[in-house]
Amino acid sequence: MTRKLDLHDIQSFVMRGHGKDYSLGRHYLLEIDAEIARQAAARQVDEHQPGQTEEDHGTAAVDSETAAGTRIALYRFLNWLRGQVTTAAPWRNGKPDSIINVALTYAGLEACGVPVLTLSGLPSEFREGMRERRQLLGDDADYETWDPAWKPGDEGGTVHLLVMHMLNTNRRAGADKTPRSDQGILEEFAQQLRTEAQKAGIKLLKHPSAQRWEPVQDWLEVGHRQRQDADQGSDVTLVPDLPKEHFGFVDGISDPIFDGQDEAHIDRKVIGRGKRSPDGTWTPLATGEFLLGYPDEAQEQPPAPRPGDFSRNCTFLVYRKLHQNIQAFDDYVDSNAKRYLNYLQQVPQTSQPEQALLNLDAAKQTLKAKMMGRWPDGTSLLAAPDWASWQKRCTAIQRAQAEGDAGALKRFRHEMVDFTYLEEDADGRRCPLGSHIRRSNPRDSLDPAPPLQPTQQSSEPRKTSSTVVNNRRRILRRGIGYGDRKHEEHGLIFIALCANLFRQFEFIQQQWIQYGREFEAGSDSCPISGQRPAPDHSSPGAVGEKFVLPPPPGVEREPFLCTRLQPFVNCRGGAYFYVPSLTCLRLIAQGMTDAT
Amino acid sequence: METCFDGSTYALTTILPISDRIIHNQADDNDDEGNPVKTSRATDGLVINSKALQPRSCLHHLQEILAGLPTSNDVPEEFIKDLGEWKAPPSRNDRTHFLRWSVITDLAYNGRPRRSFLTQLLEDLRGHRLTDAEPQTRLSRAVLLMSVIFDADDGSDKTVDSYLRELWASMKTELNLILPCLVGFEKENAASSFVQLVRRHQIRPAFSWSDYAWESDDVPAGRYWGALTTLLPLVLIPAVTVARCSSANPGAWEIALAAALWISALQWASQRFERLINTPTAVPSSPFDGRAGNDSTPPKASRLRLRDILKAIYLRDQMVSFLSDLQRVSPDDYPERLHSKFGAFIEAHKPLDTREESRMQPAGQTKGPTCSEMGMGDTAMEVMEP
Repeated sequence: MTRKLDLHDIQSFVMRGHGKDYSLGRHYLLEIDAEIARQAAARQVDEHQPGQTEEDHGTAAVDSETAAGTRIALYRFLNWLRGQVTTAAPWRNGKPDSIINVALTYAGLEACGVPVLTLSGLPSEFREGMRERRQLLGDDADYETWDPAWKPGDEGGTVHLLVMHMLNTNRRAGADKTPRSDQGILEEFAQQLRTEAQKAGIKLLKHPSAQRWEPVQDWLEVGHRQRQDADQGSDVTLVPDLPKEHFGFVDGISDPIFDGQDEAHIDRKVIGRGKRSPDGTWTPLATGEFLLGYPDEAQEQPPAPRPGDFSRNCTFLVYRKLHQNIQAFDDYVDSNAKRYLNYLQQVPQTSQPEQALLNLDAAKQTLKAKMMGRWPDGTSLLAAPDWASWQKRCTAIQRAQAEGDAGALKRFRHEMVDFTYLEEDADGRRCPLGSHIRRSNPRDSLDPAPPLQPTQQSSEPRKTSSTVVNNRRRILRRGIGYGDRKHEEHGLIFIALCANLFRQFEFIQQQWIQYGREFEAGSDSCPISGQRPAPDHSSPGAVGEKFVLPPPPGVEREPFLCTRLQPFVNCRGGAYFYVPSLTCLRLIAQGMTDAT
Repeated sequence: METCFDGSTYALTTILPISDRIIHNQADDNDDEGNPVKTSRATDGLVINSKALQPRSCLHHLQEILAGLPTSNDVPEEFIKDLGEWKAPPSRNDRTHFLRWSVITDLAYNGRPRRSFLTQLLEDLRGHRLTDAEPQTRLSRAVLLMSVIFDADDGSDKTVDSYLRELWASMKTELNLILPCLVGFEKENAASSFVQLVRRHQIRPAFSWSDYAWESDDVPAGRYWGALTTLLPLVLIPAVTVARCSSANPGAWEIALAAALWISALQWASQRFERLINTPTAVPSSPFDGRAGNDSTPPKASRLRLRDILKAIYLRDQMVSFLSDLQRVSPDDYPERLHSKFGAFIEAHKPLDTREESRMQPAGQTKGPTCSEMGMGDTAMEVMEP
């Protein structure tokens, strides 16, 4: 990129993930309640002019002052909030204790008085919102069980603002050397937010407790799980910064890299995370895929509202609260593991030592890995397609760690991201075509001009595959867990950022997660995150949705079928948000957006 | 820049580069080189609370300052006389007709350049991929466009400098907020630095102000010459080829080379003709290059000063009111009443007297909305003066 991005204008979490240090936080959903705001402003008018009645002053004048007061109070709140936001600028004095990021829904932008001409420039999917588009996203069946905060009604509200507060749990002690508790710092900000919100007549919506259903608190606690309790089969930590989600897998390994992001290390990070050209080189994705105001991969500007200052350096955010049904996932794997073990033991090419390693637990872990597309520690199935090779690799990593062999560790880390499906595993025998990661980031799988298959007659150099189709469907993931697996309610706050919700997130969710035609899986949804009804056990012939595991490489036999897939993930609600730049937030907070 | 002068007004256009520095310190508003960046009521008040903000770029800071300055349009009609310093700052100088600051963060991007069929064909043959991004023309840094029209006796440098010094004197508080965000401003000797900065980055406007006839019926000589030079390769290449064929036995590669050259020339000519046809006479080849404007000289406007114009606006409004009142007069009394009333009108409003401030449209006020139209009630003063 010839000109650097204005990092001071971009919110921090757009440019980088929170990392393991920011392992605890709270999410707040705010509603700008017009009636409460009017009453708050009327009180202020009354305090300003005590003893003056409406008759004295005129009802119209009081109304007018109340309306003006309402707006001023809202602007005061937004100005306060923009002073809290953490930008993407490099940290000069180490990692900050807290990171604050904010986003607004379409209703929120309306409530903040953004002009109609600007609002009309926002894409229709954002204006409709996630709730209206739940059928397209496959969330219809779960809608009844959405949290009240996401459903307008008696108990719920209309989400206008999202405030995310993440805390550095590895922070240094303050200047006075007095350690402050995590909850103390979180509560301190919460109290400030409540106070400022109250002045502006803004309501904090309630979230259900960990035991679910009863809305009890005005925040949702989020955080990464402790790594140790989920590691199985290996305690290898090649990517210590990345958290594990509740099913036990490292999350966020191949997060995209785009032009202008982390310029100091971009040459290294771009491999496996950027875009791959037909000549086999990796380069960063276009900035316009993730930030408004810049050309995207089609060398066009995605639809964005006017004026340019309102949209430049902004982006869209997908927020989905996804409950992970760990018990159902474990039960399902358990119920298929014995059959899968039997299947693996019948593979003729399996060597004697490999056979010896196979047991029921290995079958369970392998089945889970095949559904996910990676091993729990993030190792690619292309690097270690079966249990034996993964165990061997874990041993090698542990040895390299013990010996401090930096070169070997670098190579192992490199292998986690540097692979292509079409060239290395076109038929999905190592990483199944329908697995979660192959659906959500198919890399070169859908290359419209695939490499020429080498023939005996041709001595032409073999063309490499490219990620040209996938380049237009990437999303930045900033997900974080919530709840504890010992409680009823736990899961993942799925957070994705992209410049075009329809083309990027919605396409992935609808076409690649909910359907499987691109991956030779018919109408079957993703084995991990697909939204589907529970199988009908009353009709024995019905197989429900299925997951197909091709036989291991080089083995000629039938695939292994997992039928009657359960829904392992349930949506508890969510919305589309607009992530404003600092300039955009200022325009909103000053009521000075001018689209003409 | 003589051509910026139009009879009695001067159009000053300058493009000032905005610094890449970062302003860090929240308490003192220092930039990353430790230079203090001053704040004022405009940035400290209710509308902007800059002290609460994060470190920010000069671009962001400048946009915020400009957003906080009152414009003529922001001012409710009822308050214009009481606002004093709070009205649009450039209007404090009575030579300023109009002043505008616009931040240009980058050039507009309109996608891949359009190609002719032949160009596309040649590129396809060379293995060009549509998925490969093409270089995008971008500004190397954001700039501040400052565009002013002011009263001037002539277009000399001395006149422009004198106006800039007057402008500095009348609004140095605001300029001291704006200028530190720019490249090349020195705090010491600030007035001179301001003048030098503006003059150094001054450009000649390609599109000008009133009376500028940018489109001429006459095709300038430059266009004929351009058309002729464009046609030359199209004629010369076949001529040379035919001459070669008649004098010797050309090889197949020579004919192929000539054909390829001719196709390239045809393609080049078609693009060049398109530009010649579509380009208005005075439109420059680059937005920051006024040379193309030489083809059309703006007609000279009559010598109208700002106060003449303000008086004319005032008289226009008064005349509408006068005519409206006259409609209530009976037709029988019309001639006599018209004479006496018009005499009173002349006496009251003194059309030729442009000295009397109270009989003039106030400077710094456009026909702004009233408080109620702005939905402010009586709280407008509170908004602007916390």
